[in-house]
Amino acid sequence: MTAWLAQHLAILMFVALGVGLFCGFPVGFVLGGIGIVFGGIGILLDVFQPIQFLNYPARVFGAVAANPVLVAIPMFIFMGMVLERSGVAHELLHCLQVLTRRIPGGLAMSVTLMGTIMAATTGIVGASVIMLTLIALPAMIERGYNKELAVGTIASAGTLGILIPPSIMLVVMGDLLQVSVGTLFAAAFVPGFVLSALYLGYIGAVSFRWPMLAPPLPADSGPKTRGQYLGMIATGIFPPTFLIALVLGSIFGGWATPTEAAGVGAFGALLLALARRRLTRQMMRETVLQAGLTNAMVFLLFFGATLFAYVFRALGGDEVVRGLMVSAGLDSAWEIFIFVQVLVFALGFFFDWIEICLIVLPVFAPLLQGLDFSSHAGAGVMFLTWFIITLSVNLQTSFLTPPFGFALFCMRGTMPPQVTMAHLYRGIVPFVLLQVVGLILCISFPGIALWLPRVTGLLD
Amino acid sequence: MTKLLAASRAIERIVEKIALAGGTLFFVLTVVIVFDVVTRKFGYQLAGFGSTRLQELEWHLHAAIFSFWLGFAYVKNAHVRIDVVTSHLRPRVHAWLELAGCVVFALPYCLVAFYFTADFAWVSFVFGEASESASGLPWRFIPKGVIAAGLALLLLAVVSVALRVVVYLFGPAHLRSASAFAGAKAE
Repeated sequence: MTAWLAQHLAILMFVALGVGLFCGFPVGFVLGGIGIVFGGIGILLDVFQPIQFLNYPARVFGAVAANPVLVAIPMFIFMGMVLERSGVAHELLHCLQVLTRRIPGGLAMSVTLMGTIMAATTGIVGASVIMLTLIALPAMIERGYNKELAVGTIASAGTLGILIPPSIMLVVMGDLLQVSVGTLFAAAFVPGFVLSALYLGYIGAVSFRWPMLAPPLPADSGPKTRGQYLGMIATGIFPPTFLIALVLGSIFGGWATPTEAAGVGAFGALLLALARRRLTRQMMRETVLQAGLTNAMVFLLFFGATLFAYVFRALGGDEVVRGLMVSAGLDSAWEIFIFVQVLVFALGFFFDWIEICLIVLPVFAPLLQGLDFSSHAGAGVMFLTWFIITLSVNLQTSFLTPPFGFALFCMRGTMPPQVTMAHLYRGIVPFVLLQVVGLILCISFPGIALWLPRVTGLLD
Repeated sequence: MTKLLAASRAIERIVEKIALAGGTLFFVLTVVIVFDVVTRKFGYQLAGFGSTRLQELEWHLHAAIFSFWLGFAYVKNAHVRIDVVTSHLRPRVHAWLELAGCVVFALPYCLVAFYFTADFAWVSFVFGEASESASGLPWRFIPKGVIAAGLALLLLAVVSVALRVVVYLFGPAHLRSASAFAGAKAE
């Protein structure tokens, strides 16, 4: 009995994790707590030594604190919160809406464009979807938009933000699989814009064919003169777009590390807020509160997952995973690739990307880093870059897929009563299909992801 | 019971004060990064503060930012939970689950993690550990100690929430709304 238990502790850890997570207790504590409990059982069974816990602080210190790459996370979160709290995001949507008023589905397109430009604002699916719902859904309903189209647009635009750089998710994935974050940002650029273009094309086509689904603004609204028109672009659209372009440009151009770009971006956002006279005490307090809480949420997961992964590995988890894969007949590169993708897709029904990355990637990292896709996408870093991008698009798709999709679940609490889950489920289907098209494109043509990093010299 | 609740509130206030004070470090970190980027571009160096030191200072600040907020985020219920299964349960069941989670997961984790992290910082202090880079910052025990302090604050926050849950579950009815804990649903 004890021998059996000692051999299967690593698997039982995952069983316990599954049960523990669904009890509704904070995920970071569950990860850390299971690490302690199984470390304790391991000590009783003599397969784990108390002294091994000494490695934990060294790991947290080395991998989480003294890690210049992860410093980008608080800075991107801070930058996003400043942009949101200073009203820049709100103003951007308003301007885009006025500028696109003559295009069929202009308001819906504005929401998608905003999701594209302001991708950095949160980077956590739950938060960005909720923010977009609060800002855009009332405006769309008031305009008389078809409810399905409205909620579908918002959910898809909100999840776009996790892929389009600057993306916190890519920072975490790059850190876990040891790929440079700048390379990943460059690799995510084209796929992100392909998806954005697919969404815009769909919204345009639908609104053109059935104009009553997306009633336009009255033609006489908005700026009257050319001067007002340019003024609107200069104050509403140019500043945030320029800021994001500056952040990305300095990374792609090799002038700044992602962390430095994030810090400069946060500084730029503060200047924007100052220029708009929104940098009040009250605003700064709220911004720091939101940024601090979101950042702590991310890092408690790092704390818990580091312990979980360490104990899992110490109990022989790596061999267990390899053994399970082999006994399930999954040993070729493509089989492992597809297995991880399917697993992540299924997890996306319940978890945000951060739990998925921190739990799944450390387990599969040794396996993935050894895969050779040289006949399709290359080996080593080339493969990992392509893999991370396909994984990101896959996650996005998963977040949108009814009935469980995580993004849909997050929207539920913020929707006004006249919009129901049925609207959301019907409205999201076309966007999920577009996502699947995007995913197939990224998997079949690795060049979509690998072209820009090659051109900019970040990958060779 | 009233005393337990008062203790819980007192702990919360400490955790909150430290977190909010630590919040100013967001601005400090931003300024340090910008200063580093700009001065490096122009080849200027502040005496005693070369780029290596600044870059180490950046992650020291980063460590302080997340450490000081870990506990407060639990008090404010900002840590992610998976509530697909539990969202329809009655408030009392929620309270029991929260108490069980504190006792089984959060308290053991915080205690063990704090113990080993504090030891880690203490060893660093005793040996006078400095940066491995010659031009780096001295006093490595400071960031290490900050992480230990963060785990101590997290432990305090867990105690505070657990006390509230205890008052909620076992206290008199008139204290029930006052003892609504992080993660509790309105009755």
